[in-house]
Amino acid sequence: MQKTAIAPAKRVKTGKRVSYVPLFLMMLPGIVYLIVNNYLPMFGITIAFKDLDYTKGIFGSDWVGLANFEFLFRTKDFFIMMRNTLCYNVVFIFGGLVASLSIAVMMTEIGQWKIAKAIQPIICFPNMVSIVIVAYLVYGFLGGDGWINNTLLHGNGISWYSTPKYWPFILTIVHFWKGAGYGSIIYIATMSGIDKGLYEAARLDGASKMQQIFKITLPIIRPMIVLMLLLSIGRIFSSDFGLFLQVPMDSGALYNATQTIDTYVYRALMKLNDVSMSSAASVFQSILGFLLVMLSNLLVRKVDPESSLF
Amino acid sequence: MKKMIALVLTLALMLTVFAGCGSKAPAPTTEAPKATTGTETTTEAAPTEPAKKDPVWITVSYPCLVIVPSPDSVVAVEEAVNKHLEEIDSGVRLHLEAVDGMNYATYIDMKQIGGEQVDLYCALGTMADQVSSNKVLPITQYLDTALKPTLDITGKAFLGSTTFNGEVYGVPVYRTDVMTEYLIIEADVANNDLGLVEGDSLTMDQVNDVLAKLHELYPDKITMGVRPGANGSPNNFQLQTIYAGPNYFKVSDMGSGVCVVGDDLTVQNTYATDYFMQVCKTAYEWNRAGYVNKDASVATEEGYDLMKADRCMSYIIGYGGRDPQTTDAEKDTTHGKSVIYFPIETSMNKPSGLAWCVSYGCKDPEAACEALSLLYTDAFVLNTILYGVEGRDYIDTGLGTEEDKVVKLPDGMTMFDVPYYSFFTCGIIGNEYLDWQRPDDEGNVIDRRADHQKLQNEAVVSPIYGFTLDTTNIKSQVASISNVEAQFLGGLMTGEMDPETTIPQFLAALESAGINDVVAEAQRQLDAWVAANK
Repeated sequence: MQKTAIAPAKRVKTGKRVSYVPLFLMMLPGIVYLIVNNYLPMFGITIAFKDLDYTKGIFGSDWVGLANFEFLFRTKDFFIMMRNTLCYNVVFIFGGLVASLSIAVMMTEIGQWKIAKAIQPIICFPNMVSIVIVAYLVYGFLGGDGWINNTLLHGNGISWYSTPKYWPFILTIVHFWKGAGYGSIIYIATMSGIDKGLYEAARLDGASKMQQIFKITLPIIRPMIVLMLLLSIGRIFSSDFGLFLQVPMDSGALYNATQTIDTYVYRALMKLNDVSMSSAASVFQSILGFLLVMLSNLLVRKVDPESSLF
Repeated sequence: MKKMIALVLTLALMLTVFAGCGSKAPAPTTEAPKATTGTETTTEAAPTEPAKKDPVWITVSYPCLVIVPSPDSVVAVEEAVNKHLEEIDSGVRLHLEAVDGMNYATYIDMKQIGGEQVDLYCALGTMADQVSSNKVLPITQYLDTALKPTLDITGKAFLGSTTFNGEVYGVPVYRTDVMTEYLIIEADVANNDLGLVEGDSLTMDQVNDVLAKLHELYPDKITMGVRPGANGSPNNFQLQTIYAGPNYFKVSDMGSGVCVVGDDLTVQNTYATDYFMQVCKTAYEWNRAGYVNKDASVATEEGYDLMKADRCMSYIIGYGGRDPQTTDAEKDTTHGKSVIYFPIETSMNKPSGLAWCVSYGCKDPEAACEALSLLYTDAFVLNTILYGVEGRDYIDTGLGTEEDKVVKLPDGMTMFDVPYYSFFTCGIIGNEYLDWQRPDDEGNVIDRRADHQKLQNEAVVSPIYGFTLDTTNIKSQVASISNVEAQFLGGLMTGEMDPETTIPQFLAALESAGINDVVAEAQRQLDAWVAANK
C-alpha cells in the first residue's frame, strides 16, 4: 500500500483512485460489519441514563441523568471495589506479562525438542478448564476438610474461606495458573518470527543466553508487548467475574479482598434485575478504560513513538 | 488501521451486549399502542358479532423444573388443550411454551426486551420491578369480566400483592403458601436414640436438646446440615423462617431489609430486631458447639445428600402444607434411608410471591386474561399442561371423577421416560386445588388438597397480608443493601460470625447503604396501604 501511495505523482489522480477501489471494496464487508455490530449498538449506551420503560422502549424512556450510577458510589464499598479491581489488574497485567514472556522465551528455547509439542498443550490446558471446576479444585485444596488443612497443616486447619488476608495471594496464584500459559502463545508466535541469523551472529560475538534475550528478543517484540499492555489497560476496570465470584465461593467474609466492580454490580442487582443500572456500571468501566488507554498511548508515543497504537 | 480496529473492537465488546436492545426494542413501542387499540376494537366488536369470532391465540410461557419437555412433545399437548377449548367454545387458543425453570426469568426478560411475543408469564422475582419498568400490563379493567371466574374462587383481597397504586397487575398462584419447617432425622435414630416417634412436633428448645444428644452420640458426623442458599441468598438453617413464625417473633418480612414485628405496623430494620439477633445467636451456638458443616457459609451440599452419604444426622427444611408433599418412598430414596419429618413451626399466611402477568407486548390483554382464568378454573387445561396427553404421558386410574381424575404414569414408565412431564410446574401455575392427584406406591390416594385449603384458611394471617413494597424510588439504596446483606448474612446465619460483635458492624454498613431511607419509604407506603384498606 505504501509503495503505491508514493509512486504516482499528483497529476495521475484518477489512476490512483481507481487503484484504491478494489481495496475499498474489500474493506466494505468489514466496515459494514463494524458499523452494524459495533457502532449501532453504542446508541444503547443511552439506556444507562434512562429509567427503562418497556412500553416506551429504550429511546422513548425518560432521561434520569446520573441516577443509575448512584448505587456505585453510595457506600465505602466503592473505595474497596475500585482498589481491588485496580490493584488486582495491575498485578495481573504486569505479572502476567513477566510470566507469559518467561514461558514464551523458554518455550522458544526448547522449541526444537520433541517434548515441546507436549508441553505447549499442557501449559495451555488450565485456560480451558471451566471456572466452576476451578472453584471446586481450589475448594478441594482449601475447604474445611481440604487437602491443605488435612495434610500440610495436620488438621489444625485455617478457615480459608473466612480469612480475607490470604485471598490476594490465592486469587493471584489461581489467575496465573489458569492464564499464564495461554497468554504466552502470542509471544511464542512473535518470537518464532525473529530471524535466527541474529542469534547466530550474537553467539559468535560471545553473547550469553541472557544477553540474547535482553538485547535481541525483547527489543524486537517490544511493539507487541506494548500492544498487549495497552489492550489490557483498556479493561483495567473490568475483572474476571468467575475468578472473583466463583473461586471464593461467594463468601461474604472475603469481600474486602474479593469485591470488584463486576461482583458488586452482580450482587447489587441479583434481586432488582435493573438493566439500566447494570448498563451504567458498564459505561462507567468502559469510559474509564478508554481514557486510560488514550493516556497510556500518549505516554508510549512520547517515550517510544514506533510502539504506540495510534 | 488494524490496531485501531482491534482497539475499537475491545472497547465495543462490552457494549455489544446491548446490541439486541438498541436495534430491536423500538419494535414493541410501535406495537404497544396497537395492542391497546386492538383491545378496544375487540371489546366494541364483541356484542355485534358474538357468534363467528376467530379465537385469539395466547402464548403461555411456563417454567419447568427438573424435566424440560422437548418442543416436539409440547405440540401434542397444545393440540389436546386446544381441542378441549374448541369443544367448550372458548374464545382463546393456547400456544404453550415450556421453558427451563433455571433460565426462566432471564429467558422471558430477553424475549421481552427483544420485542418477541410473550403474552402470559410468571413474574419470578419482585413484582414491583416488573411494574415500575412497565413490563406488565394493568388488568384491573378485566377483573369483572375475563377474570371474574378466577376472582370468584380466590377473592379480591388475594390480589393485594399484585396491586400497585390502585391498579392490579397480576394474579398470584392460588395455593397454600403456608410453609412448615421440619427437622429431619433418620427414623431408627429418632425412635431408638431420641425416643421420638412420627407425629411428634418440636419446639426450638427441644430441637436444641435433640442436637446436643445427636452430637454426643455421633460426634464424628455433622449434627446439623446447613441449607445452601439458592440464587445468591445466603446459606442458613431455616432459623430465619422458624423464628419469624407466629409462635416466636411473628415477623412479616417486606424484603429489602425491612419488616414489621407482631401486629405493630411500625416498619423496622429487620437486622436491628431481637428476632434477627435470636436467629444469629442460635446459629452461632450451633456452630460453636461443633454441630454444623465446616465452612458452613460456603458449603454447597444439601442436607439430604449428606444424609445419603452417611455424613450428617439431621437438617431443617421447609415444605408447603402440613405434610411434606412427598410420599414415604420418595422421602426414603432422597435420603438413602428411612427418615421422619418432625414439624417445628408453621409460617403465617401470605399471598403467594409468584404471580402470573400479561406482558406489555400482548396484543389482546382481554383474551390473555381469559386464558389466565382458564388456568384457575379449567382442570383439564391446567392438568394437561402438568401431565401431558392422556394415554401417551399419563393414564387415568379411574379412582377419581371425570373432572377430578387420579392419574399415574403409563405402566413401566418413569417421569423421565414419558415424552412430556411437567408436574413440577404445579404450585407455580394456576390453582393448586384443581391439580389431579396421583396414587402413592401402595395405590392409595392421599388427597392433601383439603388439608392445604384448611391450613391456608386456619393459618395466622400476617397483619400486612397483601402489602408489597414498591422499590422504584429507593432502587440505589436497595442495590447497596443487597451488597451489604451478601457480605454479612452468610457468616451470621451460619453462625461463623459472633452476632454480638458483627451485628453492630452490619448495622453501620446498612446505615451507610441507606436502610433508613428504605424504612421511611416502606412506612410511608404501608401507612397509605392501611388507609386505603380500612
